Amino acid sequence: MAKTNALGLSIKDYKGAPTTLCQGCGHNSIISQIISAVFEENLPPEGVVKFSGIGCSSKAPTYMLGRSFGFNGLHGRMPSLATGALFGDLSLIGIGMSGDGDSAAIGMGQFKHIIRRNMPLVYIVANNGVYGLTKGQFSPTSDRGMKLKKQGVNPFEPVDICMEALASNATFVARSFAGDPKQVKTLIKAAMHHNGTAVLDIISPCVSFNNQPTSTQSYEWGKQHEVLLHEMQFHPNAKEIQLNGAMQPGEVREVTMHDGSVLVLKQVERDYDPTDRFAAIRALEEAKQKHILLTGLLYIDPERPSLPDLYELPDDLPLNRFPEERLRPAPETIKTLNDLMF
Amino acid sequence: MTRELLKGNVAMAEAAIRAGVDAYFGYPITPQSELLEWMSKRMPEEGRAFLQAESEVAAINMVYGAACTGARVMTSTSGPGISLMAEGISYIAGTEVPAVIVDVMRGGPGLGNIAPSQGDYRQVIHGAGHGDFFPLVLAPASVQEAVDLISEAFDLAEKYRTVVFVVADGSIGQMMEPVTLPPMRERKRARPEWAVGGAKGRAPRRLTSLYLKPEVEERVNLRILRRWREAEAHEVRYRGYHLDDAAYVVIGFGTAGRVALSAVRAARSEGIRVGLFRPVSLRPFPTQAIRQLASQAKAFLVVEMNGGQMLEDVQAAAQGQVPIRFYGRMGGMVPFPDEVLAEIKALAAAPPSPADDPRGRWLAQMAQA
Repeated sequence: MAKTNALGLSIKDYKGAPTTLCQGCGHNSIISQIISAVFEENLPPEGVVKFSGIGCSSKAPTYMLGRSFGFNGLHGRMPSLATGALFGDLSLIGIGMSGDGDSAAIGMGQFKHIIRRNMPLVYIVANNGVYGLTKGQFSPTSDRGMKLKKQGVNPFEPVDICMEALASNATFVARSFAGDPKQVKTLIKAAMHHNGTAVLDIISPCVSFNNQPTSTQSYEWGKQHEVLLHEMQFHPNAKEIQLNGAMQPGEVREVTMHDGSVLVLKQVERDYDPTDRFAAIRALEEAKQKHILLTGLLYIDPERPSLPDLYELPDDLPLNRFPEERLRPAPETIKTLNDLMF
Repeated sequence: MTRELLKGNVAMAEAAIRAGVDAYFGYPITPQSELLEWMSKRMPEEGRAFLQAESEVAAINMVYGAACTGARVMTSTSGPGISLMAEGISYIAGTEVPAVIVDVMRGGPGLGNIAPSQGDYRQVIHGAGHGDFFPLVLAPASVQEAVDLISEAFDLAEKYRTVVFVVADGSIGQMMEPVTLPPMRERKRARPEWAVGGAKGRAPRRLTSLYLKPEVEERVNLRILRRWREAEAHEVRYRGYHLDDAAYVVIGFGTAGRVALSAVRAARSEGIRVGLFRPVSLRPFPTQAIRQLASQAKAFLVVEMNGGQMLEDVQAAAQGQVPIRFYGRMGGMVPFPDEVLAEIKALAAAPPSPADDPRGRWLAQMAQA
C-alpha cells in the first residue's frame, strides 16, 4: 500500500508525464522536489497552477503535477502570464518554473516587475548557465570565461538572479543547488506559504552543455563549494514547533510566515539574519569574492503587502467565479452614474 | 570553384561574411541557431562584430543602430523572433536604412514547432511591422540558392534603403547540400551619403522615423513608395521549368516549389504537359509573369507549406483568367512529391471551374484525408 497524504492521495497523484530532459539534468531533481513538496504539504493538485516560459526549464511543468493547471507561455513572459492568471483566481497556488535564459534575458524586465508588485508566486529559476534547448549557447548567467564548443569563450559577467531580485525589493530570495534536494524541498515548501513573489535561484547543472568541473553551475563545483547559510526545517502548522525541543536558543532563528507557518533556520557557521537586506547583499558579494555557492534563505520579508493585498481584492471568492449578482452594479449605482453623466 | 558540403544555416552565414557583412546581432532559436553559432566563431576571426543579444527585440535594435552608421548588418531568426522584431523592422524601414533579415521558418502560429513551414509568408511580405512600407523578400529553394540570394540581399538593401528578408524554411536551414561559396568580397569602405558618423566639415545628417507633421510624413511615405516602385520594376525574380508548352502550371516557392518540381518531372514522364513556376522574389511578387501564364495555361496548381497565403497573390495576378487548384500542408508538414503528383493528375483530369473556391475545395479534401 502506497503512502498517502492527509488528502488520501499518493505521490502518483502528483506526478506528470515521463521527463524527456537529459538523464542527470538538474531540472529533473528540482521537478521531483516540487512534486514531493506539494504532496507533503497536502495540497490538492487542482489547487496548484504551474507556469513556465521557454527553455529546458520551461518544459518542466509537463513532467510534474499532471492533475494541476498549467500554462506554458512565451519566452520570458511567465511573470505577466502568471500575474494575469493568478489575478483571475487567487485561490490557486502558483508555481513558476523558469530558467536563466528565460528570466535573465528577454524576461529580465518582467522578472523584476512581478517582484516589485509582489504577486504571490513560487518563482523558480532553474539556473544552468547555458541555453540547452537550442543546443548550447551562452546564457546571461554563464560564467565569464566559460568555454563552449561552437561559441568560444564568454567575455561577459554573469547576471546574479538573487542580487537582481534583492535589487527589485523581493520579499523572498533563496539560492539552492539541485544536488541538495532536501534544501530545495524545504525552500519550495516555505515559498508556497509566502504571501508574495518567492524567488528561488536553483543552480541546476546541464549535463549536456555545462557540467565541466570548473563551471559554477556543475555538480562537481557545486558539491565542493556549497556553503549552507543554515539548516532548515519548515512547519506548516506552527504548533509542531513547540514539540521540537532539540534546537537550542541562539542557534535557531524562526521566521513566521504570513499564514502562521514557521520556517526554522538552524545556523551553521554564523548568526545570519534573513530579514536584513544589507546582510543578504553582503553575503552575496562575499560569496562571489570567496568563490563559494552560498545556499539557503538569503532574505525574507513576510509582512510586505502582496499585490492582491494592495488591490483589496475579495478573499472569499476568486474573481473568475464571481456570480452575476456580485459583478453587476446595483440599479441605484447605475442610476447615480447615469445622473452624473447626463 | 570548389564545392563544399554545408548545412543551410552555416552556408547562409558564410555567404553573408563573404558578402562583406560588418556586424551580426541575433538570438538563438531553432531551426536557425547554427547560423548564429557560425557567426559567433567566424565574425571575430574576420575582425568584425558579433553579439548574441538578450532577445530578438534587442537584436533588431542593434541592427537598427548599426545600419544608421552605414554598416552592412544582418540578423537571423525564426517566426517567433520575427514577431518580436516587428517593431524594430518598421523603424528601420521608416528611417530608410538597409538591413538583411534571415527567417528560417518553422511551424506556427504561437510556439508551434520546429519543423519546416512557410507560414510566415504573409507576415514577411508586409514587413512584419506597422505602417506603409515594403520589404524585399527572397525565397530560396536550395542551399546554393540561399547562398546566392544572401550575397545579393545586402546590395539590394542598400540600393533601395530598405529591409531585405531571405525566407528559408527549416529544411533549407537544416539540410546539407554541396554548394559553391562566392569569393570573399572586399568590405565596402566608403560610408553611404545618408549614414551618420560625425559631421566635421559638412552639414549634419539626421536619420529618423519621426515626422510629426503629417504633410512631411506623407512626403516620406511617397518617397518610400516610389523607391518601392523602382524595386517592383527591376527586382522581380522567378524560375520557370518546362513552361514552354505547359497546359498546366504548378506554382510554389521555396521547398514547396522544389518538391513540386519532382512531381512535375514525374507527371511529364507520364505525358502530362505540366510546368513549374517558382517565385524567388515574394516581394516584389512576379505578378506580370503569372498573369501572362494565366492567359496561356488551362489551369494552375498552387502548392504551399501553409494554408494558401501566396494563393491570394496568385489569384490576384491571374485575374480570374484561369481556374486554380490549391494544395497545402501546414503546421510543419512537408508535402511528398507523390502528393503533388496526385494533385497534378487530378488537375489534368478535371480542371476546376473558374468560380471554384480553391481553399474551400482543399479544406474539404483535407477533412477526408
